[in-house]
Amino acid sequence: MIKISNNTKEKLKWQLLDLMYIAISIVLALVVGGIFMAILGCDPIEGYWIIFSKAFSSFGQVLRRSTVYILTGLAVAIPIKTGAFNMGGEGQVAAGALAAAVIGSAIALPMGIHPVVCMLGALVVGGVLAFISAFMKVKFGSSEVVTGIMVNYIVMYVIQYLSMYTFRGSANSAQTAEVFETAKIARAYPGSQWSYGLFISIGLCLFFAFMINRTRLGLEMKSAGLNPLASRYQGVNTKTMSVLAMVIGGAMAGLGGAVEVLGGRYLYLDTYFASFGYDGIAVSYMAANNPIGVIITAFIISVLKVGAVALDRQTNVSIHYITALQGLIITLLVSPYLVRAVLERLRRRKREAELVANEM
Amino acid sequence: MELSTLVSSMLRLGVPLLLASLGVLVSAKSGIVNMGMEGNMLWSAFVAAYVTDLTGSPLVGLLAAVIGGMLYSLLMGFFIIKGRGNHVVCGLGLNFVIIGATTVLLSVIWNSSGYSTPIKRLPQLDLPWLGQQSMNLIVAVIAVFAVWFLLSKMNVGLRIRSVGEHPAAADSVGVDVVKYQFLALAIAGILGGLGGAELSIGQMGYFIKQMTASKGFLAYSAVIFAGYNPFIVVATTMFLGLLDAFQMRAQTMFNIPGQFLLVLPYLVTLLALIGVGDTKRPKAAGKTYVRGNF
Repeated sequence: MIKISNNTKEKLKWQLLDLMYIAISIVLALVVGGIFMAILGCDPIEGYWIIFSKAFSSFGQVLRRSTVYILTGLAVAIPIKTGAFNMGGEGQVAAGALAAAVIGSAIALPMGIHPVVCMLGALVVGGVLAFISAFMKVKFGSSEVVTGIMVNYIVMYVIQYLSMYTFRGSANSAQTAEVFETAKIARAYPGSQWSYGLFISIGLCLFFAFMINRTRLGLEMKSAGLNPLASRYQGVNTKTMSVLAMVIGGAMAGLGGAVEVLGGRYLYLDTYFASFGYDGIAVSYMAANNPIGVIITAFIISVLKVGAVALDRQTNVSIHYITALQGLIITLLVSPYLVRAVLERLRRRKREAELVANEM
Repeated sequence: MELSTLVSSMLRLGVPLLLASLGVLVSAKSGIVNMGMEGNMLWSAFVAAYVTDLTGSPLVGLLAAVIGGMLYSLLMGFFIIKGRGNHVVCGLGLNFVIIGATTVLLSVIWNSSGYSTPIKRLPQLDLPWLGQQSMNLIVAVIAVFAVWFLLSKMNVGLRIRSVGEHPAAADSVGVDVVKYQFLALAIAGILGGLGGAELSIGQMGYFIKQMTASKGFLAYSAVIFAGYNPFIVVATTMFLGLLDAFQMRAQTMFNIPGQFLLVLPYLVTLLALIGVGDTKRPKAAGKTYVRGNF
């Protein structure tokens, strides 16, 4: 009995630490964002008022974007457990979206089965794209970040071609035809922005939290990332784990694109899916790569993104400031000793000043 | 297509890559995985354009880009070395900072979401056969020899390399690991700054949103293909330049959809990474050295 309660306590402690980490990153995001606004000559308080009131008035929009961000966040959070960095989210989201749009608009299937097939298509496409980087990492030692970026560019151009010519469904712009009624994921209520896709996203977060923390596979993935040598010694195939986690990640990003197509836009529009993949990196890092935490941080990033549209319109702060903000937060979060280095320098300077003062 | 025009445009497209690659090479030799080169180039391209626009002198713009690039690189070093951050993630994070910041500043300064106003370019050379080339072609040639001389013939270079191979050993004989890593990063920032400035004020005469288009990552790959050798880097970057030049010509000549040609440099880089493993990589690359904890 005592042992169990100790274990629970220990686990609770870790979960609290993760929660604290997430809280710190959110505060950090808001503070850094405020500084950016001030630099650009906009009152931060007023700026945040605009952002939050816009996010509140378009709450459905926030939830709809969250649905995708949760999945692109998972796309980074799961591979990172094995030490692999999924940089290809950008291409995986777009490719998954196109796959879902094509299956949804070109093939007639009965209700109920249709969206599932669309999503499976997106899962496969996303997974295959991630597999390229993962395979090259374990087989040839190529950096998965570099290959991921190369794959992103290739996918971007190929998809542009496909949506412009092969699967074009509109005379005016590079987009596919709208998916059939049977393929759509129902919206939460008539006229709402967000769909039941949100529950798929959240459900997957719970599933992967369980998988990583409570199953053998999850343990092997984590150990492969924490100490590859020791894991290999214990009989864990670290390379397989790495590839598997990357493929799962890629599949999640692909699904993210599919859910937005089936439950939101209803078609694939070229460049519409840009930046969802890169935003996923910030979502994952702000959540300490914790699958449950991803739900919270996806929501926060979504609020900022939706709100920034209004900020862009009403002030001179362009929406792109969010990109810079995310970059800085990621960098600050992965440099744990930075604060200590700065404090030490200050302390040393103070001590030197005191010494000088004493000598005089 | 004429050979001279192809070579001429190969040089124009290859020079920024070459300069950036040399930067990546120097920092890599000190054990830093420089994923921030993309941001380094973009930032310098922006600073060069802005300062040139402000002062009217492209040479002042170039100098500003070099200083700007160096400061960026040192900032990344601060996160990586002092903050003990993951090299890759710090570099990527700063890339996003620069992508966001330059786009925001583009709209603040030039009131546009895509292009700056036309900007005076650096002095152009009119070479026989090769046509018009930016003066940075000469700078790049000098830089190749300078980097080779620095790394292979100078004491400083030896120390930079020792820090990248085995920082603990270097530290034990009195080489200041942190100092040499920062030094290598400063040099990388200068070279990346030259490469970035070449894009905006060397050739285009504009600053364009995200104008580097992942050239920083292509530069990083070119260094791996070259096995971390400055002379082979010339060949690999020029090859990528040639691909780009060919791609641009082919778009007007053949009836192939542009997308399949635009994809070429990235596709070839990806395929080349399959053939070439990263075997010559310095042993301590990507690891942050902490005394007594290695």
